[in-house]
Amino acid sequence: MLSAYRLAGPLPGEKVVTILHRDIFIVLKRILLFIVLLALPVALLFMLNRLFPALNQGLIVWPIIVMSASAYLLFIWLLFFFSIIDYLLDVWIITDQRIIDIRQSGFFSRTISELRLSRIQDITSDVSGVWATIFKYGNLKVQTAAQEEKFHFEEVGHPERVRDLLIRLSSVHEAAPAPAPSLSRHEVA
Amino acid sequence: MSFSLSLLFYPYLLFIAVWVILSLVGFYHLLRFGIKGLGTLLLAVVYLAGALGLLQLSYDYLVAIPWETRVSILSPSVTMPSFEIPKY
Repeated sequence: MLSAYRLAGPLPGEKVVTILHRDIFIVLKRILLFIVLLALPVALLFMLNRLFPALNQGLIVWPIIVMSASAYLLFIWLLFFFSIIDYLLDVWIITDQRIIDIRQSGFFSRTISELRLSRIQDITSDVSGVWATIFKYGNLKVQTAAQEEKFHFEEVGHPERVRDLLIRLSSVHEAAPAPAPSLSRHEVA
Repeated sequence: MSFSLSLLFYPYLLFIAVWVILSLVGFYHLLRFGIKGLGTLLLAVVYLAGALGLLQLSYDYLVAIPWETRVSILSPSVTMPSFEIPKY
């Protein structure tokens, strides 16, 4: 899986350590919701048919019902597709040098941000709620300098393990000797 | 005053056109930015199969409707000639 992901603009010697998505339970929750939404018009049509047996004889009503049901089901199916795409495209890539946060918001919005491991000051994992506790998923907040916004990992599986991994990687990064500052030709002159 | 029943069909066709465009946008995002692997391929195949199934189901119901019938408004109501509803 890691080899299948092409890291855009890799740093020299950079290695991908792990790729994170939201927890699989989030997908299962969405699938369950869409099953309910798909079953809803079927149940409604069944109920209407029982209450008004001559419903399919209506000159205008029946075509409107058929087209509405079709449009509703196609729309829900499309929404489901985008929901899963959103899950697949929201990704956090942890390399041995930085964290890359890729977010897909809506149809035409995609945000990519990154954070160097050397800039990490504080990491907080947070598991709250019944489902999150049972299925072991939660949020992770990575703090850099005080005024900067925190870096968020949302609904990732085993956030405490991810926190430990980040702490380990950032400590390795701190222990490594800093590269010597390079001087430009102008400065040398 | 009367109008053809097919007039009701045009907004639906417009919806289908928008739906097809959005589906293509989804496919573009999935194939352009998604991780190339089995999960992506599976999602694409499942979506396509489901979409074709829903379109076929809609077609089966819609084709049974006599769209040429003219509907009179501001006159006594009329009922549609009986037709077979596909059974599933």
